[in-house]
Order: sequence, then C-alpha cells, then structure tokens
Amino acid sequence: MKKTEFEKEISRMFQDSRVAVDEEKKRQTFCLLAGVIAEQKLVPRMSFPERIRTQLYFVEWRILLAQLLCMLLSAAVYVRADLPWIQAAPYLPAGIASVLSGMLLVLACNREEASGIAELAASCYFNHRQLAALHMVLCGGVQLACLAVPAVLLGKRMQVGAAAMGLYLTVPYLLTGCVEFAVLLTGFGRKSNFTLLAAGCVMAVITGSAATQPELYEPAALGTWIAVFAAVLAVYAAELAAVLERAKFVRMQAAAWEQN
Amino acid sequence: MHELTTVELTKKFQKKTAVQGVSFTLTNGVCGLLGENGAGKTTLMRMLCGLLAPDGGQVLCDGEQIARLGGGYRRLLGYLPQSFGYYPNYSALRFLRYMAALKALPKTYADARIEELLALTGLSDDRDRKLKTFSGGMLRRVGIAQALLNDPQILILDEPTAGLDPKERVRFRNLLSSLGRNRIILLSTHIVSDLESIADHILMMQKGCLTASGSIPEILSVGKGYVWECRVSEREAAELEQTHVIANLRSQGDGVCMRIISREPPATGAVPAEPALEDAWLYVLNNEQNEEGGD
Amino acid sequence: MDDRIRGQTKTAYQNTPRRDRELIRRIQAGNKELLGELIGYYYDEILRFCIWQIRDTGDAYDLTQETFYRFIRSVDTYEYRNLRAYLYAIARNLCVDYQREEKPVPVSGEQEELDPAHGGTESGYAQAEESLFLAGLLDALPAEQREIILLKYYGCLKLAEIARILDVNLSTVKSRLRLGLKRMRAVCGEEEDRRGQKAGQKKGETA
Repeated sequence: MKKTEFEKEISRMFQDSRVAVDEEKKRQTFCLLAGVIAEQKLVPRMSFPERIRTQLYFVEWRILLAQLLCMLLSAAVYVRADLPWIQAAPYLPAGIASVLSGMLLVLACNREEASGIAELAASCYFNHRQLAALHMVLCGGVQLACLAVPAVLLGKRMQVGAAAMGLYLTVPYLLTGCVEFAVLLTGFGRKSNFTLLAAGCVMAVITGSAATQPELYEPAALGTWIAVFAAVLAVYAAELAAVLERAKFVRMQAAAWEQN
Repeated sequence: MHELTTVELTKKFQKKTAVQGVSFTLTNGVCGLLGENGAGKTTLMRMLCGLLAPDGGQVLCDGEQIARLGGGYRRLLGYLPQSFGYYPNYSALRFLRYMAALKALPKTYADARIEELLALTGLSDDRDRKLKTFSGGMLRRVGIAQALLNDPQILILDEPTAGLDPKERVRFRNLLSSLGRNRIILLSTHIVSDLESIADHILMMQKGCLTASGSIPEILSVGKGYVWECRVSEREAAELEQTHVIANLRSQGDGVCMRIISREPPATGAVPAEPALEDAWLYVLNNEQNEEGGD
Repeated sequence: MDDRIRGQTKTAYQNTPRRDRELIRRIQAGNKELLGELIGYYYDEILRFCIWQIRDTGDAYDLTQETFYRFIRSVDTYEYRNLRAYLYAIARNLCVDYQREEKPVPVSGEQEELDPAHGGTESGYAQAEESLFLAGLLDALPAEQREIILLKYYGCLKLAEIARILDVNLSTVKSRLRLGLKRMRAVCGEEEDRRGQKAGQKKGETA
C-alpha cells in the first residue's frame, strides 16, 4: 500500500472504531464534575463587542470636542467665501486643521502615559498595545469624518479632484503625527502633554506658511506630493509600531531604574 | 487555588542588575517582601505582573509561563503600583468604572463589586468627589479598591502603606486580614511592623538577591541569640551606637534602654531577648553588609 | 445530565469551532452551567484517546475525569483559541505523567477489554477486529510516536497544533510521524504475512 493510502486507511479505522464507553463510570464522572463546576468561582468577562463599546464610553471627550471645533471652524471659514485672505491662501485652514488632528490623535493615545496610569492599565486584562490601537482607530475614524467636511468644501471651491485633496490634507496630518511620535519616542512627551502641544503648534506654523505658497498646490507639483506622501506614510507606520511596542516597556524600565 | 513560581528571575538595566537569580514559590496566604529602597522589589513585582520582561529566568503560574497565558493570567491579577496614576478629574466612581472596563468586567458585575469595595474601603460617601480632592490615604484606598475589582486570586501590592498615617495603616492591615486566606497576596514594604501580624511568609531582598525566605518563626530563628537588651548610661549608649546595630533605644530615667543586634553580648549586664521580626530583618541586613565589607 | 450523555456519541468527531467559541464566550460571561454541556460533547472523544494512548481502560476513565477537572479549574484564565487542541493537550500531558510511572503495557491478550460490546452483527464483528488490529499496531509504537499518530488520525489535529501541544518544533513532529507510520506499516506487513500463512495453513487443512 502506498503511504497516503495507508494513512487514509488508518484514519478511517480510527474514525469508524467505536470503543465502548462504560455509561455508569461516565455518569459518575459527570456527577463529580457537576460538583466541581458548582464550586468553581468564575469572574465574568465581557465579550469583544462589549469591550469596544465600553471603551468608547471613556474616550477623552475633550479631545473629541477639540476635534469637532477644528472641523467646524475650518468648515465655517470655507462657507464664508468672500474673505480676502482665503483667496490668497485657501489651503491654510484645512492644513492647520489636519495638523491639529494629527496632534490630537497622539494626545488621545498618550493619555495613559501622561497621567501615569499606564503601568496600572498594563496589568489589567487588556494588552496595552490593544488599547492604544483601539483608541487610535476610534479617534482616527472620527478624524476622518471631521477632515472630510472641510476637504469637500475646499475641493468644490478649488476645483481640485478628490485624490489631490486627499493628498494635500493627509500629508500635513501624517507629518505632524511623525513629529509627535518622535517626541514620544525620545521620552519628552511622556509625562506632560505640553511638549506635544508645543510640537503641534510648531507644525501648524510651518504648515501655515507653506500653505501660503500657491505654487505648492499646482497640478505639476503632484508628483512631489505623492513621493512625500509615500515617505511620510512609511515613517509614520514605523514610528507607530515602535510606539506601540515600546510604550509598554521603555517608560517602566526607565522609571524603574531611577526609582529602584 | 493557584501557585506562582519564579525561577532564577533576573533583570538588568544598562549597567545595574536590579534583580538577580530570584527563585521562590507563592501559594495562598499573605507573603511580605521586605527590602530597602533600591533592593529590587518594584522590579520584581513588575515582572510578576508581566509588565517587564525578565532578562533571565521565568515566572510560572501553575506551571505555565505567564507570557504564554497573556490576558488570561492578568485576569487573575490585582495590582497596586507604588506610583499610583489616576485621572484627577474623574470621580472615584467613574475611575473605578474605568478600571472595571479595562479589566473587561461586565457592567452589572462591576457595579455590584464597586459598591462592595467602596463600602469595604470606607469611600462610599466620597464616590462622586473628584480624585484630585482626595488625600494620600484615600487615594491609596481607591488604589486597593481597583486592585480588588476582579476578585483577584493573585494580589500584588507595591509599598501600599508608604506615606500613610498610622490610622490608615491600621485600616489597611484590617482590610488585608479580611480578605481571607484564599488567595495569594504579595505585599512589599520597608516597614517591618506592617507584616508582623499578618504575614504567613516573608521574603527578604537585598541588592536584587533573595537573602531570606520562610515563615515568620523560621525567619526569627535566624536571629536567635543575637538580640540583647541592656541598660547603660548615656555616654556608653553613644559609644555603642557607633559600633553596633541598634534595634531600639529608649531613655529611661537615669539611663538608656537599648536593644542591640550582636553576636556577643555588647555590654556587661546585657540579657538575651526574644527576637521580633524587626530584629531578624536588621540582623540579615547587617550580615550582608558585613560580608561585603569583609571582601 | 443523563440526556446529554445519551445524545453525544455522534458529534464527537465533528469539528465545530464556532459552537465551541460561542459556548466558551457564554461560559466566561458567567454561565458556568454550560460547562456541563461542553464536557458532554467531548467526553467520549477524550476518553477514547486516553484508552488508545495508555492502553489501560480502567485508568483511562480516571485520566479523562482529571482532564475535565483541570479544564474546569482553568476555564477562567483560558483564552479561546482551539478548544479541542486544548483539551487534547491536557489529556496528553496527563497520559505522559501516567506513563512515566512505568505501568506495564498490557499484553495482546488484554486487548479484549478494548471493545467488549461489539454486538453480534457482522459489521460489529468486523469493527471489533479492526479495533484490535489498530491496537496491535499502536502497541508496537513507542509512546511518543503513538501520541502523534493518535492526535493526527484520531483527533484530526493539524501538525502545527500538535507541535504546539507537545511543545516541540514542527520538524520533530513530522519525523516522529514518519517513523511511526513506517513502523506501523512494517507491523502491518508482518501481520499480513502471518495471516497469509494461517490462511494457507487453513486452506491446506480444508483441502
């Protein structure tokens, strides 16, 4: 017999064989186990969707508020079409909005570190990485919706396609994120959000002044935008992975070494 | 009933070795971890909670590595870190609900537990006050409450009584006794009197190494015959302080009553005394230092 | 509990991870009574695994009981991944501990215990014979090959899962499997030769 035929034969024999089960012994076992089950203490746990839902409840509402404010302001600016400075630098408000969004995301995720609760949180059921990732997804989702509003308004007015608009807004967002993550990774932004805010402001100023250069938004420059986008995305992803990975250990190691 | 074992646990930070080759097994009951600041207690506890990955050795829960058990292990765990972080603008109730969410406890169960624990820690009336208005002792109580939310089988408390006034410390001790003997409780401290009445087992740590391990009677037998009490003049007292380890001293009328840790009688008329935990601790500490000095 | 005992012979070999996941979810949410139902699904399968592995029917019942006892005690920390593999892991470890105590392997004669009630029907008789045949093949194997054969062909577990259960790497599993199969085929061959001889003898007698 060939090997696989042999295996099939063995498999079949196992599946077909019906070794008899002593019902009395089985019943006795079940009785005993029923007692064990009754005694067993079980701390209930939430199902996955419930966990997500409860985390939503605790999302930092100030961050959300700031985000909404951002969106409303930038949208309002575009609705009032006649202001002269908007003609000069139409991308300015949207650019700033996306910078601030990038910063807000990192602030939201840094909440545990900043308040010092990270060590405690890490000892609970949730993996700290899962928690941070969850917050990022939630926040990011909200931000996507929020940024879409000024994006649409601006796109209509500037007669620019959706793809280009997407680029113009995501690049400052990601760039700010990169800077903010770098701040986190070097340890400055950990305990206080102040450094993160400061970095955000710096980025806003830079983006603001860049937005006043109309040449940047010429169709000819799109190639550069795409290249920059790809580069920034790569850096963002790498830094994000590093932050999620190290967030758990670096701070504690450093702190432990000091306090020890 | 669970068993928490460490096998040759080691942790190094850059040039310093925080924990070196620590091995022990914990079962149900209260275990006190004694050590000075810098002995490596916090690092050890963080490794037990799975917060830090050890550089050497393993932590096993019922024979399984805790890294493999992951979230399942943390469900058994209740942890109160030394530097207890919190959200200042949260009320006590909201904070406990948040911690319950982090521990994946369903709402009905969590709410019931929170009520129980607020009562147990005497914070029922303060539940709606913001945490930033809480005193140090009250915050520590909130910390203990959150550690107990999931009815943990393994409770790890890092210096829970540090900075508490005596009344709070008594309260804490009573709370601990009321938790019963059906779980593993490990608490670290450098204050010996915290442990005297409640610990079933003592671990002593110095410079990252475990220097003693055993029940209180076993530990006390280490210091047998090395505790002396004597009554001397103030001048002699000053001399003795320079050359010996003093466990206690008390001015009494025309002299000073001293309790001294020493191999030989430190002064004429010194009588041997029954060792208490504090004495054994001082003895072990002193021994280590002497050995190092000798090298 | 009794109805659960009666109803569960067929489902034992069906792999139903969705049912398992749902049950575990509900158990861990607080309905620990469902543990009984879960055990009902897997009792026969684990019992038979133990019987095949340690070749002593009486003790196999004890090991099976211990398997589910440990499962109940650890269900609080259990993170759902593959419930069958988890149960097999517990059972397998218990079998290893049991065999380490060096109980003697029952000789061929005692294999009758394996299938006492095969019924008088022809298919029943054939089944019983096959079981004995299988038992003979398994007897020829050292324990570490036998457990892999059982986990793969009886438990229908993937090699990667088996590697995780045994805490060895995949290549070790594969090589032990290969050796086990080779050995079984060798024994098979011998058995066929032996039967051929017997048949020849019988023919010779009747002729």
